[in-house]
Amino acid sequence: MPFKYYVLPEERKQIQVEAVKQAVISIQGPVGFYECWPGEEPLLTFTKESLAVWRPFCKLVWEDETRKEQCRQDNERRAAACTEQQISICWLGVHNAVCPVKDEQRGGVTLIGGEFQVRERKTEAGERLERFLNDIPPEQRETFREAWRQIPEISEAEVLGYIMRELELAGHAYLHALKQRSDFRYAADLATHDVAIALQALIGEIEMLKIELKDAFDIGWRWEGRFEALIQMCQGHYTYLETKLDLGKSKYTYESMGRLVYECVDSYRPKAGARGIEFRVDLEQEVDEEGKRKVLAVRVDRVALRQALLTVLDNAVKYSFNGTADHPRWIEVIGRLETVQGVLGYSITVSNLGVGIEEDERDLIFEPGYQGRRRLDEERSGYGIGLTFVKECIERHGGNVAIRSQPQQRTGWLTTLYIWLPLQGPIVQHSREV
Amino acid sequence: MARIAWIEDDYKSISSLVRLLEKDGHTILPYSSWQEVKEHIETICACDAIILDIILPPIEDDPYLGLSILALLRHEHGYEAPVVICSRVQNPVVLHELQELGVTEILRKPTRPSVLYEVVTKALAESTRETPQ
Repeated sequence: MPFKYYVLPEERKQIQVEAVKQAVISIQGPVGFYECWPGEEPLLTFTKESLAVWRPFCKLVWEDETRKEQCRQDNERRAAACTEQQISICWLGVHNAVCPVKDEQRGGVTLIGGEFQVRERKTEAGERLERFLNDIPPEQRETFREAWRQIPEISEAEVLGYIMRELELAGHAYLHALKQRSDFRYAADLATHDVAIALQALIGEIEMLKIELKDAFDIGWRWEGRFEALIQMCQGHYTYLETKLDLGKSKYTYESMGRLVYECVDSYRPKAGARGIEFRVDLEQEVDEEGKRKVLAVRVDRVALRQALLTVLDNAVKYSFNGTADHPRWIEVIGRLETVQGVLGYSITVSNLGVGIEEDERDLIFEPGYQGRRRLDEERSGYGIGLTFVKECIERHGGNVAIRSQPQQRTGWLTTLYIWLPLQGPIVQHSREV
Repeated sequence: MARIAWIEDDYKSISSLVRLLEKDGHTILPYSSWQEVKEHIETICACDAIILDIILPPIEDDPYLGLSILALLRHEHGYEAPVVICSRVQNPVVLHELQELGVTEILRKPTRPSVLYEVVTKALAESTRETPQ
């Protein structure tokens, strides 16, 4: 039953995708989908084509609050101008049924699995489709039937690919919840709970998908491995949630920065080495009363700071260009005693040569879910929460974090992440440019 | 097949957790609040097992309402069947009290459907062996 809503033109592709998604659910088979917009020629959407535009729309909806309001107002205005007949031949209810704008209360967390059936039931799908055709004008039915006959069979791999994108959508829902938490739109404990529930739901759904698809298709070990990797990623995010983001539970003790930095660097050497990347570590030391050289101790939350350093190193490795055994690339880690606005502290800079960050993204890069344009282009994307955590962690220590990235001649971008921590731990914040 | 009460405030969101148990033919009866538990306490006590969350919407500032529910079931209603805890709770005092109340297993969220299935199935099997019909 169609609903009386309308959408912005740029959202159409998403409508098509959603229409296909709903068709897959209701027809229980992979299909293309017919749509007819008021005053325009009918269109037929294929699953494969629609998939290509899935991600941009998600980013649009999740990230742009003003666009949501614009969308709502435009829906109402244009719906009012449509006749019932025009509306009835648009598949607009599909969008609004799953639109995150509509379901603000739960943050639009529409998780995968459950009712989603993946079966190659084309005959049954055709029968259901005929019933659906009864709801559209007779003169358009043959157009659709002809297109239906031309719809290719969708392979198992493509169906699984579709599901993976469903997971991506769920990931966006997770990020949305995370952003809400970060913005303190509601109590941190409640937000933590919501994010935890979203992750628990994801883990459950992914494992059930793995089990059910294995039963249905006898999916190969490669797919099983990918599902398992997804579960582990979710569990990793859960760890983020409990050990990294719950920084209010921090315990501060004096820790040797040398030990901490080397511990983190050493844990990344194998991963970096496999890509021909090596570390240069240079930490300023002091001589104690007994004449021994040692790196100063700083009052930190060891668990949180270790995670922050690991995140920084992980980014440095991920976005570095590959080297070779003969000509390795270098990641430099430099530690220095540094006084900022009269407060003695310790600074750590991590520099790498590789994929850079544009000037206008220097602050955005710390926002939850944001990933640099160049980084996305290079298909080295993650979830965009690593640096958010780093910033939150360092600022909780009373320190500062900044990033600078500059293009180098013919050798990519030199990116430097700067962290400064007061020796005495959390005190008043100080600002400093890189 | 067993009837299993699932006391979990977010059961709608994480329903996948019990899907393997449902596939196995068990009936899952979800309850999401203290109010629902009170209303259906007889039904719950008649269940073959309970899956219990500890951090539930609090009543009278009780942050570990699940613990109070378990104490109620054990002490006032004589419930002796297996109780599997599935919760984020980490408080060592609460964990100790849960063990004192004879829980079968404490599963820390996030857990997997397959893990919950295995624990509950095993608990049901052992429970059946201990109380022959």
